[in-house]
Amino acid sequence: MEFENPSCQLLSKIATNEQHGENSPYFDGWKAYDNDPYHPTQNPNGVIQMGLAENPLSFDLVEEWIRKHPSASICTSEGLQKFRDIAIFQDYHGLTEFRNAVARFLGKVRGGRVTFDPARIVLAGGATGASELITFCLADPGDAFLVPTPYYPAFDRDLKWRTGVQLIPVICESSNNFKITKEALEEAFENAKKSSIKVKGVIIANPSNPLGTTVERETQITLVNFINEKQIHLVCDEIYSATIFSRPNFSSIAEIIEEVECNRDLIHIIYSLSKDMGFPGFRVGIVYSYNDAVVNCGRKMSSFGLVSSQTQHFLASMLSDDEFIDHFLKTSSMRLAKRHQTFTSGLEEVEIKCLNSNAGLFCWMDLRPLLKEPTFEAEMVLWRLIIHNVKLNVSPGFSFHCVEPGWFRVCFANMDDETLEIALKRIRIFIQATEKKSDVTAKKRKQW
Amino acid sequence: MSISGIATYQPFDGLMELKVAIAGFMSQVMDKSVSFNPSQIVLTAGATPAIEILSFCLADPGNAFLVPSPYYPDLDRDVKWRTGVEIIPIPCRSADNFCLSTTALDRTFNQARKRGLKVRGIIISNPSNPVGNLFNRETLYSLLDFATEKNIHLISNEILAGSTHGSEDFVSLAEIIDSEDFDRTRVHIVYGLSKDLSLPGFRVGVIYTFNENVLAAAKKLARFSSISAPSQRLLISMLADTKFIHLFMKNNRERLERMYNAFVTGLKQLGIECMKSNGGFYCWMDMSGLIRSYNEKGELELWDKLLSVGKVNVTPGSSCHCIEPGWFRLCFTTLSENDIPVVMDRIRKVSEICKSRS
Repeated sequence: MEFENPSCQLLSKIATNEQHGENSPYFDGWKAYDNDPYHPTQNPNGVIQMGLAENPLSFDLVEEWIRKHPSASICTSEGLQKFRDIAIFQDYHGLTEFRNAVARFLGKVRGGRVTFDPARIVLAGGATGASELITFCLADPGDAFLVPTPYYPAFDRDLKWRTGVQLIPVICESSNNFKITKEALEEAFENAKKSSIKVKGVIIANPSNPLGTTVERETQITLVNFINEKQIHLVCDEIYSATIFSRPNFSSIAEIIEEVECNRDLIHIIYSLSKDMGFPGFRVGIVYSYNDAVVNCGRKMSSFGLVSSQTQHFLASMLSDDEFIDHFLKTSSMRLAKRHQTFTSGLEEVEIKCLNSNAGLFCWMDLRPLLKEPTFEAEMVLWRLIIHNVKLNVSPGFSFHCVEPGWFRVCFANMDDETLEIALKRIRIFIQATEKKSDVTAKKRKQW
Repeated sequence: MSISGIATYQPFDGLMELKVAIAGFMSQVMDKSVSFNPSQIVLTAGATPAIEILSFCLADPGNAFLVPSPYYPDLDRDVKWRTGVEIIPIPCRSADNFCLSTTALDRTFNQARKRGLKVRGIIISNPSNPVGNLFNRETLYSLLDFATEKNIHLISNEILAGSTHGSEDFVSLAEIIDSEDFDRTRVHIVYGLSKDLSLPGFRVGVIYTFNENVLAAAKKLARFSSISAPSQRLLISMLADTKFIHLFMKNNRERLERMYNAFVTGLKQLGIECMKSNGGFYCWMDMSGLIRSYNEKGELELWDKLLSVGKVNVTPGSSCHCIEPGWFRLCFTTLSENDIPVVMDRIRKVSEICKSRS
């Protein structure tokens, strides 16, 4: 879409290209929700939001903690003495106590099996800022990262838009539960080489978005061997690491590199509190790198998205409260497990299957049986039906670059129990109506 | 307000309530000479990303902005680092009180053109940093005329608008736009709460633009640098208390003026003149009389002496791209009045060392 408005000619390519992705049809679901949002009493027939991976399930615990710890806030009489020092603190290293608390928290989430060095923690503006920051540090315009599909759609914007970096998909298929294979990695790497594209690294999400699965140890070892051999980077987005609710257990890349020989300068972790703690509004992004040069450079870039000192101070207090964090992590995990169970068993009642998952705030739903034909056009038709007739905003597989049509990501944590029930009811009604239709069609065919 | 209202996803370009509050604050800070429309605001995590975002929006890699020098060192990082955009300094001279001359502006623009560089805009800081000058109406008109004639942008970083002292009045670019029939689509103002409200830790920056395409693009880019929600909530409350803000600004200005005058007087007694200024947290000192060789090397030698012997950390003019050696920026706002004699004493010692050498 070309802008011919003369005043647009005053703008840069970045400001006028489509790399922000907001004109993609994927946003129609969001627009439908914005125009007609569900409310139990005011708008019971509205669109239910199932496209937002938010985790408010354990906010009650956080609220209770806040009430009991007024000194964590600089706005209470108990905490006011810290106001002056916090208000003027803008050092891009971040508050020492905050980095210490984050390092401690990261270790806790990994069951104490590995420790983190606070000096390697770099702050950024949310995971969005963290992903972009690490990309700026590792790659030049025109360079590429390999990304296993299906992957989080915003990577296209966050990793590419201002950096000028490309993403090359590593194809994963349902036949082996979307596992990342050495063959797929090699194929993607070779394709890049043929097109004279310089591959700087691989980026994975563990646990995966949209799959909701943890990446197996063996797969991570394959990845480490692959990147070591090619001498390229491995960036692991572990933003969902504390949303594990069932086996297998989570293995962080931090643990893998303790067992497998690896050039640590190639290993980097992206993290944030947006999913595990449910704090996306706080804009806490973290880059953890084992590479000193990356830490030094990244730290200077923190100035473009530093975490508010007020927020750092508050979180330093909360995250170092061991008793609270242990209780929170355990409770959050249990509540996510229950939600997952309720949702998947509700879907099973109408014979809808989801990929077996053990983490995340969503299910990867298999609606391939409902497609008129195994094409993305058919997926789009089905998706629009779900948005406008079933009134659920779900996310279609094509927006995640899935190579097989018919998969949908459905978020189950961002609503209360009653709303989830209503969503399930709507799905049941839709499936049953669809079955009736195909029965009638089959009968009609028989009559012919 | 429950945690779910604050902790969940918020609009990336800032809460409307905060935009409204900041629009009001900006107007209050500028003595109500102009009003700001909250819908033209994009909020960012500090003025640093605000400037970088504008740089990404208005220029392609290899393009350039013209900036009057001396200018504050971090501008190099904010405008150039990740964007690949250039800065071409417009040298200002002590003979002009380091004020921008339109002749120099014209000459710099033409030189850039000859070098094959595409100039996308001019970036000014008003009050300026490190000198502390205020731009007068005539200069602002000239800049707007120039920008219109050359079809380029004009960015005004007004982050110190409320930190003025002395007799001259601050005039915002927004006020000039209001009063005359200029093409607004090329005007953008940067603001923030790090200076006037002394809250740099909370990371609050503002892009105020009259160009709806820039507004649309900047809103999307703000996602990399959004303000933390608890801080937004705190500030909505604080800025709504206009009585408090009025008292704060009044006290702030008085204390700033007191400190500024005390430092200028103290330095004068040491034989060090400061450039006349009306804003900012600093004095722009002429220490050229103390440097051994009238060049950057001489200046840095003095800087090192001040730091290692005098244990006084000041900013040398060369790091601000000043073309005349020997100028230093001294920030006084982190000090109290009791510290003044200590500072003067230490500078005197270094000054005596320099004088005895020559």
